[in-house]
Amino acid sequence: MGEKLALKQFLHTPTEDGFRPLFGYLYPRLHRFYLLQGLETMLAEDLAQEVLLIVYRKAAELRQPELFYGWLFQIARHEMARYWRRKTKLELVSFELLSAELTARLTTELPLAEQSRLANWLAQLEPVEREIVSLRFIDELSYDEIALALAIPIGTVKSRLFHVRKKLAAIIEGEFHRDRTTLNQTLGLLEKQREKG
Amino acid sequence: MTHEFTEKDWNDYLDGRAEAGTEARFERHLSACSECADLRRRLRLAEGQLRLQSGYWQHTPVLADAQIEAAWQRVVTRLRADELAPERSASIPERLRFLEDLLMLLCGTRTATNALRAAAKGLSTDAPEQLSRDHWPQFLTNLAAITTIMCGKTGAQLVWESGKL
Repeated sequence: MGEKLALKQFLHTPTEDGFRPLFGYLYPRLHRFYLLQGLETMLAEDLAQEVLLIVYRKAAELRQPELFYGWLFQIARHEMARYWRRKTKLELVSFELLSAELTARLTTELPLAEQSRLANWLAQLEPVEREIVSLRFIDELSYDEIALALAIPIGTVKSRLFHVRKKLAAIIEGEFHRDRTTLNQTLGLLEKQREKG
Repeated sequence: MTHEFTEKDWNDYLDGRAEAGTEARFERHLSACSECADLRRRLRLAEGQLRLQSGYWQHTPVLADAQIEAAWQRVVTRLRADELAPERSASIPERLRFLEDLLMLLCGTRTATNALRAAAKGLSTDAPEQLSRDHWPQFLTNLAAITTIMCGKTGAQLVWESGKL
């Protein structure tokens, strides 16, 4: 069963049996999201499970099913903030404060070399920037969904994304200058894609 | 540097979602402004790379099927525990019965009984059913510590959260 169908069926009938197929798609997604935010893998697993428990319990309260993924990642962010509140015992958690700790992990806890290239780029972004890149380019959320997940207006999503695109361009270019071979390979790939397109 | 365009305009243009009039303005501007044309080239190159690298994350599973199944089982255990859980105002015997059921689910009947006894040991009484409310917090702390060793952190957290009076 595909993810879209699993989601449709679960939202129609939010039972334990209906949740199992969807769980198989959402759990790896959430786990990946947390890894890309710099959390260690065990913690990523625990938080992903917490999020999915909430999703199961509150699915009936979801008002806009078309924004399901925005809602899912809104819960995911809340759970991450709740974890940091418990850990730091601060009333208000600023994601920026977590930057150093999370960034250090991002560059050390990745399974594959190619995956770590992306993680290295993300490690040079602020946590809020990292989230938006992850939601847009990896989980491929719509702007409406990202706005819901981050609790900001769509216009802010777009301008924030533009800033992050510029920052990433500088990061990637910097990397390319250090590695001319990679640059040539990429240009070749882009050329092939353009020819196909 | 965005010249006559807003950041939102730029973002829409890069996504190919700019309105027709805005897109035409962009094209006119970019043919005359080398600075903006260079920015577009760099942003597109970066986006191509980003999408390429994102593909690895999207299509390379980080979790094995067995790990997903194990996670599902933990979530199901939590859901069952919720169904069994008495109200917060429950008495000590009720809470003990619940914790025993929960530990039985997590690690078997015998271990559950032993864990409850071990957690009560050294408090006012060795028999958990005779514990007072004063001793309950220490008992729960002991039980959570024992559960950490037997069933891991998630099980212990579950015991801790659901054992509070």
